[in-house]
Amino acid sequence: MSCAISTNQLSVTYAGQASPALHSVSVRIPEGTICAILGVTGTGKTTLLHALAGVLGAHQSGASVEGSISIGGVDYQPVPNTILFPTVAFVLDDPTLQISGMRDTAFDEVAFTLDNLGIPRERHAERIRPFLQSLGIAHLSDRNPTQLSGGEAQRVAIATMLVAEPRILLLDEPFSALDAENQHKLSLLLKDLRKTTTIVLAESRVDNVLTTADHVIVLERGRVAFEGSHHAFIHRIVEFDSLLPSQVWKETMERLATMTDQPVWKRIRKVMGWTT
Amino acid sequence: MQRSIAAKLSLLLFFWVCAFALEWNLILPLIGILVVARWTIPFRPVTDRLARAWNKFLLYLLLLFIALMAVNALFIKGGAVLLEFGPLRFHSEGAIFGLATAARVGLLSLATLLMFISTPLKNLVKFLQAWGLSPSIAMVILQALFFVQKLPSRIDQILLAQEARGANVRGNVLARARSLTALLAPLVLSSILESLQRGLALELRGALHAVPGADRERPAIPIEAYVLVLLAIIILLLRFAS
Repeated sequence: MSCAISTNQLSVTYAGQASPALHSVSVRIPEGTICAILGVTGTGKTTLLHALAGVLGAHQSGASVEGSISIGGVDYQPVPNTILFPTVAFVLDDPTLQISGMRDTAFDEVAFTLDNLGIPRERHAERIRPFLQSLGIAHLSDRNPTQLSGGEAQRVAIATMLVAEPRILLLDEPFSALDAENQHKLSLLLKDLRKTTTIVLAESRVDNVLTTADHVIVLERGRVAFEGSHHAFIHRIVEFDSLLPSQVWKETMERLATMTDQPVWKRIRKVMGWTT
Repeated sequence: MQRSIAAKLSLLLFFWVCAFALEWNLILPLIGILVVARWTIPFRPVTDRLARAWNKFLLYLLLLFIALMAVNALFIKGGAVLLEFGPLRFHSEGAIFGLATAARVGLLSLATLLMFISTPLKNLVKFLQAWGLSPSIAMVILQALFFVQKLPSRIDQILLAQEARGANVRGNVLARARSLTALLAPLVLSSILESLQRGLALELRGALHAVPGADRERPAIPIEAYVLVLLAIIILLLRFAS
């Protein structure tokens, strides 16, 4: 499988900070996969996304950056110094920020992206409607985008990016504002999207991406603590208990038992010391 | 809507030219027209809050008229004495000078305010973008729009948070003045942060690299807009000729 994104010894230290936000990060994200970047708050997940989207190079001129990045076969030394939209689309953790407020309806809000790309009005409907359908927000087309709920705004924000048909979609904490049902819907949508788009999502809770990710990267204090396939991650999941509040850890393991083969579950039970 | 924005912008230009080029006795009827125009459909305020702001502004404008006339009448001596309070004498020449100044300021500010309270800013930005407004300036205007829209609710949130910490924020004028210091820092900081993030979010949607006017239909300019611009030019020419 070819590589959509790779970083080589990427280190980032923000101006005025003693310790680096990212420390010699080398990762390879395969094309057409959903890659979850996991880590507790402050481990450099968002910094890595900013580096990949071009935000770091475009807006953090004071930061010290070393290493290199390759995105879609294009090498950047050390990081892209301009926003890579529409090749790379980035959905921020607060979806309401992504609503421009320029348009009166959710449909027009999504069309704002196409306007920016110079796509003629007559082609807007054919580009937008399939995404509204697949995201389950077709019924919101005529609603005021600034008055949507968190989950609805999240899906509209994703639609505003997907209409640009990016090769790579970056999502910062996409599940955090969603209830269980909408998390499930988003998970299904992302799985469907990976046919055409490589998806990278940053999450602090492992249970949010357990059933979604194909490839997993775990960051700890700016360093890569784990990188590998979903299957490999499941085998080592017990090493990363900081990625879940302790009260839901066991519950997650039980969910895991239903989706993995029996030997793995037995091993986890043995490691965790659960006898029942 | 887009047609009406073009006409309104022409009207604004016309009133601005009038404010500088016409004599005060001709400006006063124009101010009267603006006050009445607020009740017509094209100039109806977009929200109730803006309607209240307009009413308040009229009151402040009236106070400005009175203050400028009184102060000038007191210090510019000339013409008949209109009023006399002990040693204070109010002269007609000064009063007229104050009235002329207030009339110009009043016409400029009322015309501008009426334009903005009756036009959703996003429609104005859209119109200007269709005519080639640069995406970065459009982004700055959008930021301002969001800031103004969110300001009242943000102030309420911060005051509520301060109140929850035991601060007296809704008492008398002194208490409110004291709470202002506790309000300003979080208000300014959170606004700057949100503006930065919102700017980034728009940039991430390609707003900064949009081709100005390339993909937007330019609305037709109504005949009344041309007439108003022509009238403004004629007034300017007459003013320079005299």
